Amino acid sequence: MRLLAAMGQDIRFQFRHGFYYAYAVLTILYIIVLRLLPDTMVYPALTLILFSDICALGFFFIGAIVLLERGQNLTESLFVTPLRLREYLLAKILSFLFLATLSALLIMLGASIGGQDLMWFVFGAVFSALIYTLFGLIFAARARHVNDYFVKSLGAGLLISLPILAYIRLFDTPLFYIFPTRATLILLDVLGTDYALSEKLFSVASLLIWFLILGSWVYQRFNKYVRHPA
Amino acid sequence: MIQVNDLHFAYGSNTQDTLRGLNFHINDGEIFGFLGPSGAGKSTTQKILIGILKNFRGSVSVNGLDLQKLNSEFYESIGVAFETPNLYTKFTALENLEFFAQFYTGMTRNPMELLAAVGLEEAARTRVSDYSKGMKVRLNFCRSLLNNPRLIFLDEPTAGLDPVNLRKMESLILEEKARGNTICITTHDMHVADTLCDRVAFIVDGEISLIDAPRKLKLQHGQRFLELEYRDGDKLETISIPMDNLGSNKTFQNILNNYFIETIHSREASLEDVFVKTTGRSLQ
Repeated sequence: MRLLAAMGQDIRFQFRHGFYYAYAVLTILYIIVLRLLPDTMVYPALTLILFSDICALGFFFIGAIVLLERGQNLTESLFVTPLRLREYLLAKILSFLFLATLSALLIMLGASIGGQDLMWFVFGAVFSALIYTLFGLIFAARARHVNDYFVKSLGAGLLISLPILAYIRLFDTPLFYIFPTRATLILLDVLGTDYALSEKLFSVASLLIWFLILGSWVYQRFNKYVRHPA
Repeated sequence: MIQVNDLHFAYGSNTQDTLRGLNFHINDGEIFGFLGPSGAGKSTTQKILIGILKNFRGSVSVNGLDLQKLNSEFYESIGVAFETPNLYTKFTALENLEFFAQFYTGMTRNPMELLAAVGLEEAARTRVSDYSKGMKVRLNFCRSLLNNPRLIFLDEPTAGLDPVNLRKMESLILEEKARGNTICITTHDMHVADTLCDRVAFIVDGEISLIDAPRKLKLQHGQRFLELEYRDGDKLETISIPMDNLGSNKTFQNILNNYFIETIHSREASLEDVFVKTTGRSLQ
């Protein structure tokens, strides 16, 4: 009940602060771009567009949401109610996941894209959105305002996006397999490229492991810097 | 209700303690005030009592429950209004209250009735971003009462209120006391402490120098004299007369019988006088 209430409020909060409008504009733009591209370029473009839509944007938007909330001193008032920290975090993550997944689905529907490996693709999209939301939350936990968040998170954001270099065939190294971005790019790319089952399974495992590590890290940071700041 | 022994607290990596060995208790059903200047440690103490700040030293128990071991159940029965109003600014007052009410398992108060009590019924459907500072303070107060709390923490509850709403707020706080609730107020407003609190603790530089009832303090530190202003023809005269054996004081009788008295005041100390005298600091 508390989780549902918090999640509903987060969705309304995002809506009233214009995040849904921003996503609607971007989603329409992406659909137009995909429809204008020649067939051979649609799938690679889709992978990069979804990477930017659900990962990069999510990473920055979740920080903006948390800092808007902090600017209104809301966390203090939420944590003197029976709302638990895990409920607060889950509400943030799920509400944002809803927005990112909705946008990704609309892009796919709008661009009439589908395929046999849809399950792998959906898993990749959902868990990638989760992981980059968690990344954003790690930086948001200590940032004082939006600019501070962008400055602190930009370097890390660029760093974890390095496997894009391999995707666009500029530079590759086995070290990229450690990055969650590698797994994300593989799973978002399965509709247009044939990957070995082992590679897809490795990507799923990688995202799950990253999810567990980042989830517990976010909880600890919020507990220390937001729930009980001192 | 609340028992605090030898409470110490330091922020972050500070080597100096912000709170330095506080000892006090708050009884069931009383209004207890922390009075002190900005930065004295009032809000820090309150943040410890409501479980926001951990890592304190000493012991703090609320209703016999050790605060180091509290869980979220604790928040079912307390209400908190922070000094800085913390509300969803793009939501209306009613939406704010309805949202927070969903977190409690017990019966909650009717948001519209709460808003009406603080004079905000007509602004119930106005977004908080369009509220004045005083309106936000009143809405904040409503939120602290949503869950029918037995223990209420109010940080500077009258800051930014005009005289009419100040009086309204004071009477609402007294109503909560009449319901049997315990209220802990932090303030640097002498009038609030004097009017509302059953007992006050003077806190300066993280230490409590004195705890007592405002009335008792004012009498203890005052002088047993009456101060009279009276008209002697065109002249305004002032005289101080000892209060002991006042009935047989000839000068007093003479003034009463033969002059036009404009004012009479007993010369008890003001709470501010007592504060300055015992702490050596002013409240500003």
